[in-house]
Amino acid sequence: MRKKRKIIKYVLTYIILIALALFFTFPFLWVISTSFKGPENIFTWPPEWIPKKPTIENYIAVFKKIPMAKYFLNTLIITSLGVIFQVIFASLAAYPLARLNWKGKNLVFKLILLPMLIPMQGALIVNFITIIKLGLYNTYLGVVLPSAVTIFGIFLMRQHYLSIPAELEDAARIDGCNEFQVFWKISFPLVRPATSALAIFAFTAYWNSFLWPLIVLNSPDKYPVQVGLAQLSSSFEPNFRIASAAIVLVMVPILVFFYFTQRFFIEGYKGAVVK
Amino acid sequence: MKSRKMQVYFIVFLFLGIPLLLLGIFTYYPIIRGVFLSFTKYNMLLGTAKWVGFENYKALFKDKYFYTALQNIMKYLIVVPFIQFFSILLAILVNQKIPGIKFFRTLFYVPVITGSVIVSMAWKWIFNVDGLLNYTLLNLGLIKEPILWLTDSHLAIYSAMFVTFWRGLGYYMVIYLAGLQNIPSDVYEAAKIDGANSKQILFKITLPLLRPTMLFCFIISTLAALKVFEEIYLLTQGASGTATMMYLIYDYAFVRYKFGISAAASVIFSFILLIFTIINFKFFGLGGEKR
Repeated sequence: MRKKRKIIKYVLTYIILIALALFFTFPFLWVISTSFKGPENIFTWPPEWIPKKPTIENYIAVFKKIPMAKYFLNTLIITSLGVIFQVIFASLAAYPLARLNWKGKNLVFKLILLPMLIPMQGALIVNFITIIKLGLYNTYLGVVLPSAVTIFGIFLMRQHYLSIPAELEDAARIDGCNEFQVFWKISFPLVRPATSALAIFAFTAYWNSFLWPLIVLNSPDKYPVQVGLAQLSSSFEPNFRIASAAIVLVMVPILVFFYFTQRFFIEGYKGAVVK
Repeated sequence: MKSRKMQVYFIVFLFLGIPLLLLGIFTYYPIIRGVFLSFTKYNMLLGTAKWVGFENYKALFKDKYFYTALQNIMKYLIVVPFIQFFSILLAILVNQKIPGIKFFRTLFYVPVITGSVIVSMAWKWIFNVDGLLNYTLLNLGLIKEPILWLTDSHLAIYSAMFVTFWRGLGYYMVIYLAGLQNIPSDVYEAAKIDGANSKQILFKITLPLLRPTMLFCFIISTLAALKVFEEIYLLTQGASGTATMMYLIYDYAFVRYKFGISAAASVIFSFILLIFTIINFKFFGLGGEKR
């Protein structure tokens, strides 16, 4: 009797899980299915989830009509620049805040955290003007620079530096290391795992960023994929077979990336929420 | 020993210098400059700002879209309790140790990872007049006329809210999952030895211990709901009465080039966000807790 109940519970759980999986993926499945359809019938009843006559002509059309490769290259440049900046600046800035004793340390740290409490929205316009004045309008650097230093990044790295036992650093000092060597040979290698978590968060943020690149870039040959896609959706409105193919092309890399890095997402939050 | 102290200060300047400079330019300066800008008429070509007093605020208060935007962000808050309730359920569901559960977790997270542009485009084709949803409903005979999901001014904002809900579930699920996995397993074992049933375990142990995570999620999802932009931009372009505050700020600055009015809207919006942040902190008593 008990075993039977257990089996029913099992089956029910999986039915719910499969139903939810469909709920979360059907728009994408529809996009994928559409991307392989020919012009004759996108709408048939019942809807064709697996096209009877699959074709790759939409994918060929994407590369012919839309500078997809260029968009990808732009995204790659913006994302790598952004990730490198964020990781380097956060790793450097957090170190003196966590491990060194100096006058004004607490004040500086409090100042850094302050904007987290003041949700200021003026940044959008003012930063736009600043970027123009710096001559960075319509450049990759202009896209990346305002978010090159994030408070979240500094905070995350500081938490990890704090967990290093002081004995390790002191031992290195006694052995004759200068302060630079202590950082470079002892402290930094110990927080290196945290930098990969930060890099992954930064990567997804830059890959999916939309509003800021939309504002700062004005020539389409500098657009990252997300902005390029969004422009597509208005210009190719009637022909969403081609746009579907473009969406699939953008979706695949990020899904592959996520598949290999997913453990960092849950682990990252475990640290972030509790501390 | 003195040289060591010198080294420390040298490192402080070297490591913190550039990051603080960038924070100064792109995070602190906009706070002050934004307020100043809201009292000026900004000339894009010359880069000059002329003091106009409260003119921008007056113009804003005369704009009916400003009130629509205020109403819409308040409506959008309805998403918060729904998203929290269902993402907790989801997290509990995927926290079971059964075969294949990691695969399901990944699937539920797909809408988060694909980003707002793709999600909004996909849903636009579902919600369109001749989209998948109307098509299905018509063919099933459930409706006679196609429903204007994105162009009916009573309906459009709710369609956008649904997309936000759908896209956010996986995000909060992962945070709650991390929270659930932080609960030490011996707490559960002790409860089982004491003869607690699964209902008691849920209400007396799991949910109370999940409280810190809930507070965190409530705060970030409240702010996210008030700040919604991408769904609106991509689904309706702010038409059909769907403009939100962020959309209004964007529209004034980068479509109509009225930077002053946009800055005024930003200042008002910042105050709204500040009020909600204070309410959240007071309500949940987060202020006193060490974080």
